[in-house]
Amino acid sequence: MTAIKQVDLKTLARELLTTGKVEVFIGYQAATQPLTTAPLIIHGALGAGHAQQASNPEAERDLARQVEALIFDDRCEMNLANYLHKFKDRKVAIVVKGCDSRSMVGLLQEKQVDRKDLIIIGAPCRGVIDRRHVGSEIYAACRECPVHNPVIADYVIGAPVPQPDLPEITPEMEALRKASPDHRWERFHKEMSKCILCYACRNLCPACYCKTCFADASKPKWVGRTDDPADAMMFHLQRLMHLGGRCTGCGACVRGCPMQVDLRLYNDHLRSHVKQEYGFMAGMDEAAQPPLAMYGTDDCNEFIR
Amino acid sequence: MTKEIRIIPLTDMPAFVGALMQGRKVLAPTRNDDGLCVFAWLSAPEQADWTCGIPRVPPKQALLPRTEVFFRYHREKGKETVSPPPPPEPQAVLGLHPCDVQAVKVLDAVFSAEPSPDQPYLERRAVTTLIGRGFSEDEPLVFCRELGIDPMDNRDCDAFLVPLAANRMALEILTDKGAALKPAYERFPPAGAEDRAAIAEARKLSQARSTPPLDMAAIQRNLETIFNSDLWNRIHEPCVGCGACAFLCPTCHCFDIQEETRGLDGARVRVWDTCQFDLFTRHASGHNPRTSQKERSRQRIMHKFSYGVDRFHIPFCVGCGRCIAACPAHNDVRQILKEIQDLAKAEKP
Repeated sequence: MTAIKQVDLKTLARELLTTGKVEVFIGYQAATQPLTTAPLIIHGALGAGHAQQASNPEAERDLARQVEALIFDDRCEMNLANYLHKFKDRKVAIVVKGCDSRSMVGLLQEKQVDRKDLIIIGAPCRGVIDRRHVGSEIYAACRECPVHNPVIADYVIGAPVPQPDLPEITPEMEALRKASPDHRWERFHKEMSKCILCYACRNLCPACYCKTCFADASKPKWVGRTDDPADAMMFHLQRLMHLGGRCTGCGACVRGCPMQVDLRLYNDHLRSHVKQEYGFMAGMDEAAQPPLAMYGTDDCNEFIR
Repeated sequence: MTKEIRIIPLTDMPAFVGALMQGRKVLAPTRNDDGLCVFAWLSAPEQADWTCGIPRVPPKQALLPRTEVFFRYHREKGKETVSPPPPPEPQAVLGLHPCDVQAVKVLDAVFSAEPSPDQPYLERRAVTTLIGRGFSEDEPLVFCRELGIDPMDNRDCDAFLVPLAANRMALEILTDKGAALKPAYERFPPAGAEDRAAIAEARKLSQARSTPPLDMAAIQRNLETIFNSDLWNRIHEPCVGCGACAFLCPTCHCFDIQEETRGLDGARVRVWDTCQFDLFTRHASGHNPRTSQKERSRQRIMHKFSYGVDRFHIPFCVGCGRCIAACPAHNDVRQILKEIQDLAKAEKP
């Protein structure tokens, strides 16, 4: 990565919004509970569809107040790339951590966003505080994060952070892989029994952007909505399959689950499989071909040649 | 006759809960393997956890199960047999915060409304005993006081637990259903004058701590005028449109009716649904009157604080704070309500 201009978050936001370079700015603000932040979506003075008008002093004060509320620190857990679909075809500036930047790359590869509409503000990140365990550690996904510095950005709002060495496979995953099928089934059953099918995991996932998810299809209905864990299993297994080679491991699904369903090891397993089989890491390089979205005449499998 | 009150030391609560479990299912606050407090059906009396404040999962599953079988059927050539589910078993919900009791009142109002009272709900409700629990301290995120609900109020309960000094609970018996718990509580001593005075004092202290209530009339009035307000953009934009808030809300009661089939057997079931989902209002034609999250987020607030109040004279929110705790985007309904209330003030001539 060539040197990218390091800027002050608020100064940049103010400039982008007041000059009309972007219509929408997606960042973070402190939320009402300890250790939590919420997305802060600011519409510029020139944004369409909103009451704010240029040369309206009250709107200008409101804009200034919102820009002042922008923050970035180790509480900023949401993957904001997930919000881009709400602002399609608008000029948007967005704050992304390392993991979130990989989601951005994924969205670019899959033609869900247009690079020319985006100003990407990279936020080097050492990991997000795990608000469930006050003490306080960073989330497991962050401990195992291979990309603390954004892989794609137009500006950065901090100096690059050191990238810790990581084992190829975590001891936790190794243990799960070595465990007996009965043990793995028991674990899966237990996790799935906690799920209430609120779909927060899906709705927080930048890679889950289907206009009609299979879980919402009613003609035919693929997934039931009862409290039989089989329904949650069906939903999560299908969603996992759809994320093969696409999940970047940002952990948004795990952090946002109101029932603390731990999808992490399943996602990790999926990603490490893709890496092992195809040597591919999702969301690292916009020019790369995602393995499950490409076809080659030299494929090693005969059935597809 | 003075109200019957028994004194139960916390160390004896498992004995009380165990006796309650004789002949009835008991739903109570308990910690799951992750340490998360949830209302769940007890399989052992020790599972009831008195350190839980407001459990993440509300008690509504006692009256509106996540999956409720209306009937089962079996198809064979030219012949269908339909069998009703077994009648609901007697059950008790133990340890309801007064705001959760108010939530049961909301469900009662909705499911008993003419012209189509909901029989499965009412049958279940009829065999349900509500044992509330007073809280002498305000739980985090709970804003029920602002909605006029006192955390020590025992109204609408069959029995009610009041925390007392020296690790004891007072059990107030309030209705015939409460009195029917006699085999569970008769082994415990009646409250003396001193304990009765302590209970009265705890209630007085709680009332003295009341916070200024939200102006619910203003909120309702103003909601009628802001259907097309820019406010809904600010509310829906951070919302990811999941169902966490609704599924974990003690009053949200919208449902879907689906068929669960396996081979020639099947069941018609009622499952939880929510206005936050696109599928909720999608017509068979494919048309959807609520096209985006903006309409859906608005519906949630409107139903709770305008339509519900219009029809049933009771807000469909009890201030338990579960949606605030569960929201992955950290939307806070308290902020939304304040904003709507203050809009009303600002717009007054």
